Amino acid sequence: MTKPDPSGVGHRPSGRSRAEATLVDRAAAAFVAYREGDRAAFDELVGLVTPLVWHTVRAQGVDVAAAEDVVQTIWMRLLHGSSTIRDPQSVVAWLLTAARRESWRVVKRARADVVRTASLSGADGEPAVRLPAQRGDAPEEVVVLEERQRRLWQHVESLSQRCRELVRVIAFADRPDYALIASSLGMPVGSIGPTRGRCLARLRRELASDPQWEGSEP
Amino acid sequence: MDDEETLADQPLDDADAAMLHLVREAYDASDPVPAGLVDRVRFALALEAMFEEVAAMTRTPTDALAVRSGSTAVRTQTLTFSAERLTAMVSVTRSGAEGLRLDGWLAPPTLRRVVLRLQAGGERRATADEEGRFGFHGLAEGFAQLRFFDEEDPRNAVVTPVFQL
Repeated sequence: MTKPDPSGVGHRPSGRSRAEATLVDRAAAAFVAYREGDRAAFDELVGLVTPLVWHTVRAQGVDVAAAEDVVQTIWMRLLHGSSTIRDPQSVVAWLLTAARRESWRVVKRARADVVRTASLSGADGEPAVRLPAQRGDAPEEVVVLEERQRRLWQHVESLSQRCRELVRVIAFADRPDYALIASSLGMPVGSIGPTRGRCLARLRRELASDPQWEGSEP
Repeated sequence: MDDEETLADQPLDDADAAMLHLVREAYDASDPVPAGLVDRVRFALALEAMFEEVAAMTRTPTDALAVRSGSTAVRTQTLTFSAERLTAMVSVTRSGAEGLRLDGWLAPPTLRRVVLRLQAGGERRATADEEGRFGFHGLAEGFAQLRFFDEEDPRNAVVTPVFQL
């Protein structure tokens, strides 16, 4: 049995690692090891998949404090329900699906609470995500990077809610896992498959047609 | 320029990977996974693994009602946790050199055995009175988790999510 990579989330933007185990593979291996009695393997699994779960939850509009609880709840649920997952390869899909459902529940409850407590605490309209303010005294290189991020951000923000969610979550995954993750997020598998899919195509076209954007386009 | 349909049907390439890498960096900068979240999840699960049958309580968002007095010496934060058959209110008071005080109230006052698990290590135990009140004194800052259980039947228990002291 291969031991999952203890270094945590793989970070391979070059995508030239087809032979290596992907995040989904390593998660499956850790899950199998846990079920065979290796308690520490569950902690590894938590380290591997928490970033994906976090971004899935936050993409549903759950605030930071509640998102922490949702992440905890999802992992507790997996621990209790681990015997119900037949195919270890589907453990990531299971986690993301559960994370989305729990997030919807929390968002719905939070909305009801806001209505109830609005007169006490005032409305709390925290945007889902905020880019950090540009630092005035940052070195030029940093400013250029920040400017690039800001521009990319505008294009990401202009995507539909569904596309934004997909792009956000797969940005934290390995390329061969995109199709599985897309289907866990409720995007029809056929629409992404081994291909780029509509959301990435849209983002790519947006960037290509932006005269201020230069760089990664061929 | 390719039209969107054509682009969508092409295989993923390195330009997509580069674009997603930038997206990842942007989210890492703007909304990173909170520091210590993974450790807090592991801390919470270590208990869960021992008590697989326990019900998890959820945090009711009363954080907005946290009381902050004018004095910097004393700060009180109130949290409410609820499960199907139990609600627990917990307030944490910071009082200078004495450390933290946690006062709690259980309704209904069943499951009166209370265990406070501390991230720093160890546990503190208390028994709620007949009205459901319990407390802990001289606590250090860090993450903690409460477990409530029935003396007669320790498996009859609920746990809170991990919270900050």
